Amino acid sequence: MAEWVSHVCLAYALFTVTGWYVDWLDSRWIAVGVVGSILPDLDRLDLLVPGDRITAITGIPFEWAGINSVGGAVVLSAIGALLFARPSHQRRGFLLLLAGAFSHLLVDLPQRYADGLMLTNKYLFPLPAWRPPTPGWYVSADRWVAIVAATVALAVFFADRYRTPAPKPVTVERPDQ
Amino acid sequence: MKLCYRLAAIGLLFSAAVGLCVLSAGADRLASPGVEEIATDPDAYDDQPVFLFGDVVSVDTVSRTMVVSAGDDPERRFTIESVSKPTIYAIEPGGAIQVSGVLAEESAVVVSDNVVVDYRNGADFRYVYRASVLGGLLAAAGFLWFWRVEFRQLGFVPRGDR
Repeated sequence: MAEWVSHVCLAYALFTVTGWYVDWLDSRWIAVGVVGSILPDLDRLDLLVPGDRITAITGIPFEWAGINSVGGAVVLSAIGALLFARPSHQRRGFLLLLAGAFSHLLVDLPQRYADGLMLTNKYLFPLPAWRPPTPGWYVSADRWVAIVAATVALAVFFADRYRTPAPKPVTVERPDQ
Repeated sequence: MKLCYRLAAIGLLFSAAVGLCVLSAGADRLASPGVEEIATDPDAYDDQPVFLFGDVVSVDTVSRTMVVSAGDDPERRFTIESVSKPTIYAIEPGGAIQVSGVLAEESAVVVSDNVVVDYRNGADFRYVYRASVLGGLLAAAGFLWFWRVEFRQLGFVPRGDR
């Protein structure tokens, strides 16, 4: 996994640029998408409550990694969406949380692995395991990833701030109508 | 959606999340044998390819080997051989690596084809944890700037027209 500064910055940039083309995707929904970008890493709950301890207590095999996956992204986004009070917000919330969670999985894909393959067997769960070659661009502790992500986010922030929004189409009635 | 239906749906989805964690633990989705399988019958896996994640216990730059501990329950130690020079000098005890190679000597040794250093030392771990806490705080602050909890509806609603 990349650290969360990178995930948050890249999600901010992604949703801000998307918002240039989608009217309703304003700052409050961008904030929801950014939260979605850290949902899959809720498997870090393992640091507080180790999966092995849960297995030892319940006798049932358990590993938090199950939610750091496509299936986990869908389920966690649905739970998050239901935390919005209004139905219209729940629908948009689900969409943004899911898009954010998928952005997380996408950013995690090109990491370096010793066997030269992506860790898609984990991220695609419960879909069939399939492991294409990884470009091996980074490991979690590479500082340059956060620097690039923060630079991209800052560039998009300033572009967004000084950008002239496209004019909305104006309907002019013809005098003879 | 009525509050009771929402709570019921959240309960069902929470069960689904737990189900994913249980199914994931039972699924064997890596072609390489896991530590648990190796520990059960170490002899059987000699000469077999393996892909492991482990914590570095000790490093010997002279023989270019390191001892790593992999798996949680059971935990098992492996001696990693044929580690490249740049890698052996980059890693310290307390770091974390991945290794791809072939098991030997009753699965006590991994003759490595490739070693990737995930965390060189404790400082790398601290960097990732701190950056993650900062990222989490940024995400939470951004969200709570635009949304607030409405206790009567037990859910998030927008904060006015920010």
